[in-house]
Amino acid sequence: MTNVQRLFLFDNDNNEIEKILNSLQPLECFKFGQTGAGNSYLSHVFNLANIEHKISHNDVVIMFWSNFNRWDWFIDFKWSNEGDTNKGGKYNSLLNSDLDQIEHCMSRDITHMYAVMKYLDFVGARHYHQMLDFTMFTKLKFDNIICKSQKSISEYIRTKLTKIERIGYDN
Amino acid sequence: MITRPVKRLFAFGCSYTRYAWPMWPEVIKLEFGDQIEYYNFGHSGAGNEYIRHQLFHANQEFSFDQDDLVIVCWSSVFRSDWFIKSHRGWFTEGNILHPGTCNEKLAPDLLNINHYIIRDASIMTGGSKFLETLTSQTHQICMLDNFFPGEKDHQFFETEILDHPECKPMIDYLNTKLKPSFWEMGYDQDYNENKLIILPPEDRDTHPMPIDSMKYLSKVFDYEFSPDTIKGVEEWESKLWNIMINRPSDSGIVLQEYIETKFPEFSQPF
Repeated sequence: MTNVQRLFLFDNDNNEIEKILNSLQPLECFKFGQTGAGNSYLSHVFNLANIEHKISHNDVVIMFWSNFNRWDWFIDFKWSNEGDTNKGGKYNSLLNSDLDQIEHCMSRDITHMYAVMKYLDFVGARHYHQMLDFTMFTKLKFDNIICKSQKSISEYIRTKLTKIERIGYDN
Repeated sequence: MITRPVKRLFAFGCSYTRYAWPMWPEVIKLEFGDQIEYYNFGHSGAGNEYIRHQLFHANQEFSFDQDDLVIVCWSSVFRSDWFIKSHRGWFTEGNILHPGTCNEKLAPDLLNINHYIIRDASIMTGGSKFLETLTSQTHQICMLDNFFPGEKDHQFFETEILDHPECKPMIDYLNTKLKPSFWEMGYDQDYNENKLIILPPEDRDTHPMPIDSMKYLSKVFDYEFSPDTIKGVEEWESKLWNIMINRPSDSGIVLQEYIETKFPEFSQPF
């Protein structure tokens, strides 16, 4: 891959960063995200980054999407990113199990992912997307997609997900 | 409202978009008549998460193009939409403080308005950026002004959030994209309620009447509707009044449900 002016990395708690930086060697690199972040948070920081930096066709954007079973709360003027709900946490523990359903979280997250992917397609940026647990998406395709809107949106997203560790070799 | 002819209208929003009687999408459909196909994805109680989900779903299903008019009417930020497996779809229960199967299961510590403002500023920014990618004619209107205190239910509102660096850039961006809301353009739920004072309290519905919706569109788009449209909307309004005034007091159901059940052709005139 050549002519990488700016690289935007959106990450939850992934450890592939150094490998990617070494392979791309961008002139500028912007890293966003934090440990335990869910996809709502990643989508949020993407929006802020896009408003500030006006992501364009000259840029490379790499999104390490997180697991579906995460919630991000902005309370007391700060973010609380507690990671997977089954690992506990102050706010995770307040979630009622009737509401904290993987079908809900998937519907919420695929909408965030769709917004980011469609916009990056539009501006012509080179963009790559991986999920923390890719099998979570493929498995859900069969088990949890139970309505038409989930199906139509997730079909698009599936075409965009890739194995990011290959970036730099197959472009 | 349009700068070139359109073939399809896609409308998204909450009950201000689709309700028991004709709302703003029906007024637009009436204006353009058979020239346009019309798809109304509005849903009572919907929050912005549901609205954006439907917008993206519709794009996947219908592939918006240059011949389309796509209008999103954003809802209140203080709502949550829940996709519930056993229901096989979404619960849209309106204001998060109001009773509801899902709303009542949210712990008090998770009802912080700042969270919902940030969440929806992000959702709306993503939705708005998506609309920028379309070749269609697009507009974003609003039920109310989400980012200023004033709504009765915003008792937790802390104005500092609007200047917070996690929020301000998105609100500044959205302010360049969103048309003034129904409320900002003079539509007043309390006024509407007063207008309906002759009805029993349970029937004093606060949704815009057909003429309210037409007036809003005229103001916000600086658009003059045709005499035929004005006449048609006035006929809807007159019919709605007749239904309201003559509604039996012992129906046992709320006004919205009564009209949708007894007068389905009026609820969905196209």
